[in-house]
This record gives sequence, C-alpha cells and structure tokens, in this order.
Amino acid sequence: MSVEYIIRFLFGGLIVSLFAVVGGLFRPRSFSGIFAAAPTVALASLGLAFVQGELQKVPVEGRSMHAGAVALGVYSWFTSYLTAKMSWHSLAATVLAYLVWLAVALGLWFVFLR
Amino acid sequence: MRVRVSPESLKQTKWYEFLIRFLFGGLMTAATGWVALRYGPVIGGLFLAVPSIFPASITLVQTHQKEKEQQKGNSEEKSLDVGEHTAGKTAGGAVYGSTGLLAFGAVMWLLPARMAPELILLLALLAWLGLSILTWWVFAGRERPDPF
Repeated sequence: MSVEYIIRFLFGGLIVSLFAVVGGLFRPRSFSGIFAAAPTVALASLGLAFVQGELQKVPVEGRSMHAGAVALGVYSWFTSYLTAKMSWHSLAATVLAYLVWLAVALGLWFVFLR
Repeated sequence: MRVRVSPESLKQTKWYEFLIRFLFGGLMTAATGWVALRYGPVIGGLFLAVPSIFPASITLVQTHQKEKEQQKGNSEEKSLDVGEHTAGKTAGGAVYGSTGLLAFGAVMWLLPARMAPELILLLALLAWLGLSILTWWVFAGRERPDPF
C-alpha cells in the first residue's frame, strides 16, 4: 500500500512539474492560465488505475469529475477576483479558495451524485 | 490576441520553485489516492479536478512579475499591483482550463473501458486541450493583450 502512495507521489509530482513548465512558456497570461487547470491529478490517478487493472472505477470517477471541474472553475474565478480586484496576495487567495472548491464540489455531489 | 511562446519564464524559474511544484503535485496526487480508497470512486472522482498545480503556479507568477517590474525600476507598490493583476489574469485563464476538464471527464465516463487505456488517456487529454482553447478563444481571444 505504501509503495502505491510513493508511486503516486512521484508520478503526480512529475506530471504537475511538466504541465507547470509547459504552461509557463505561453503568453498571454490568460492563455497560460489554462495549464493551471490541467488534468494533472486525473492523468496520474487514471494512469495508475489502468496499470493496476482497476478499470471499473474509471467511468464512475469520470462522472464525478464533472462536479470537481465546475468547482475548479468557481475556484479559479474566485481566486482571480481576490487577486486582481481585491489585491489579495495570491498565496492567501488560493488557500482560502480551497474552501470554495470543497463547498461547491461537495454541494454538487450532495445534489446530483449521492 | 495572438498566442506566443516565451521561454524567458524558464530562465526566471529557480531550482527550488521546480521542487515546490513537484512536492505539491506529488502530495496532492497521493492524497487524492487516499480519498478514493477511503471514500470510494464517487467522492474520489471529485478530487481528480482538485487545484493541484494552481496555488504554486499563481504564486510564482505573481512573484516573478513583481521582480520583473522592480528590475524595470518601478516602485514596490506599482510592482505589487502589476504582480497581482498578472496573477489574476492567469487565474482567470484557469476558468477556461476548467471547462476542458468537463470534456476530460466525459471521455472517461462515456468511452468503453475495454478500449486501450493509452488511447482513452490520449483522447481525454486532447478533449481537455481542445475545449479549453476553444473557450479561451471565444471569451478571451479577442481581448487586448496585456501591456507586460
């Protein structure tokens, strides 16, 4: 079990780093921002699910991912609002916005997926 | 607004900033695995779209832009303002990336699991990129470019 978490950690770190480098290459900033919402965790998790032969959970996770994606959209908009309009430091804004992501994702799960 | 490649950001990035992204991304992916194992794939699926790369990326964008403005000779306050504005623009761009995640999830959900896994991942990735770029182009592609 712990080996699985180490593999997840290394694989996830690698994919996130790769997308960060690619995203940083593009301008304008609004375009490079697309890569801040890259499916990094999804790629790492699904890649491992396929390797481990756990194919039956892939469609279930894909359906739930829609709620997470809507929550990420709200999270991104809220962070943008706090930094650009309210002059918050980006670290404080992104950390606070995690609560928004969690609330929206769990709210959508409660209404549509439970 | 024309998209261009700007390799200067790579030169600006310090080694420990790559390390921060690696550690943060690795931790988030491992934590997502734990959530899926503990609470099942319905809850686990939510966390496939958790902001993993986002906080580190946006914070580094703000820091780099502020440093750049200071090197140009701008005041601390002005540099901070431009840094915040740039971080906000980047965060706004992630909204378009989030729409692409809907397409990524749809591919996972609807394509038969008996297809080759590599093909499903490739199609999901292309669907994410395609829808993200399309929504960016529709909603932001015709805006005036940033002055910095």
